[in-house]
Amino acid sequence: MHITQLTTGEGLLVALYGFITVMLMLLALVAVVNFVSWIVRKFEPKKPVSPASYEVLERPAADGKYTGEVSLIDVDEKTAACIMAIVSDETSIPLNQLIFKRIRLIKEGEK
Amino acid sequence: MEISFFGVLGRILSTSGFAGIAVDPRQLIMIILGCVLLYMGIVKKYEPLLLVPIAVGVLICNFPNTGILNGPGEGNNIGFMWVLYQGVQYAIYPSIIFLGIGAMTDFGPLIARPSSLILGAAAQFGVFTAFLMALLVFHFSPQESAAIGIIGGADGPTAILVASRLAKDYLPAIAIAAYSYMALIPMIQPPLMRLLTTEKERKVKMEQLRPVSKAEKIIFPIAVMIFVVLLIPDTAPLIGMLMFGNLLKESGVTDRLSDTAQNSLTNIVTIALGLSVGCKATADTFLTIRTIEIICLGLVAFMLSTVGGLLFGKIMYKVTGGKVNPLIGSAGVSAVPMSARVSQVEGQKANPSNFLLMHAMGPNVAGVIGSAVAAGFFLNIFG
Repeated sequence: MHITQLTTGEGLLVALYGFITVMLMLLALVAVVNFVSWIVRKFEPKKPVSPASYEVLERPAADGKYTGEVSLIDVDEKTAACIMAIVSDETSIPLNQLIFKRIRLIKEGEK
Repeated sequence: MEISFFGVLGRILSTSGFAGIAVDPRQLIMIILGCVLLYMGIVKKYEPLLLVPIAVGVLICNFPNTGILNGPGEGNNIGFMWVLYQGVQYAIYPSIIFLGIGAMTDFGPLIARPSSLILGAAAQFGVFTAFLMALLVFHFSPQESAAIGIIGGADGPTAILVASRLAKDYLPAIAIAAYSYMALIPMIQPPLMRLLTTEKERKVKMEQLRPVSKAEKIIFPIAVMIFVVLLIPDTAPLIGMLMFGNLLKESGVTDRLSDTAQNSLTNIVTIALGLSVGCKATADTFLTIRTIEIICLGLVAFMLSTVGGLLFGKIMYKVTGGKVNPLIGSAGVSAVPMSARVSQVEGQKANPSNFLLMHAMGPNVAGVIGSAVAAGFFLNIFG
């Protein structure tokens, strides 16, 4: 079928159907992605993080007071400080307003 | 045969490009246009990676008497540009560019928040509105209207693919409009974003996205490819290649292929694609009122797509009780990663501690899928 002409009504319908098709398709994809994530998370074994590899670094605030703590996993203090400084610089958020919960070394092939 | 110096000189001059321009001065206008595009690409840095090859294509194909566009049966030899153009004609280049985009894209933010896919769909609003305007107001054919509407998807390869199938004569105008507006996103979107959102909405800080596992990232492209291509087979060249590229990246076992797809292959095809698109911009087809209409409709499509994304972002803001910043909706127009960066910049202007980039990347890559689906719809109906 090769359409060469459309009336105003037909044009409106094509536009409407097109938009609805895209909406429905991506809504269905939302369901597919949610389903895949649910399956993966259900069957994926959770890796316990070795407590031995934890190190806690107290995080100094900009005013010199210590607030909160950040867990370092296979990362030394110097590297962690660099990472926090870079994140602060890149995001233009002062360090005393940033909260780091954990800094972990990700090995190749690891999640 | 008598050979004289002046005879040879006269023959050279009569067959030169200068003589050709004297016969058809419109080619001079196209050469000037090529130089303007080069200026925009090199000096203004508007999508230079594509605009510079397009501009050179415009220049080369408008030099008279080169025969560079000759197809079989026209002139003595097949022209170099005619050969290159076959990659556009058969949708090879846009598909390979999609392979590269897939290999460069991190779908993690989308997997972490799948609802951002809806923003990618809402931002296709401009595609269908511009289609209607082209059809009803400017009286383009349905096929041409569809190709013009796709400019609103803000996705160059998709626009080129649809135009090469449905509106070959308008391919250069559509491609140039699509890439020019993509480059102008930082100027087009912010006024609309500020107009359609309140200060309070722009200040919203979104919750951190959940971490996405490697397995999810590997299964995602496979699942999307199977689902979308089975449902709309016309999306196979775009979605198939996009997801294949992403699988190369995420599988972790094809690093060399992923690297090639991201760099060398994409660069080579970008050169061929740009030259091919530019070479179709001949005076006969380009210097018409229709070109100006396409450029205007493209801008309208772009703006309405941004509006669609923003309005749906506002709906999500209401539905979630203020947890979604509507500024990420405008990133649904695709144009990765430019429009996501615009969301980030506007978000930070309202609230300096706001960090929307990763949240906007979800709708941004969803927009790529959305525009491919819209293209598949049009190809299905009018192809």
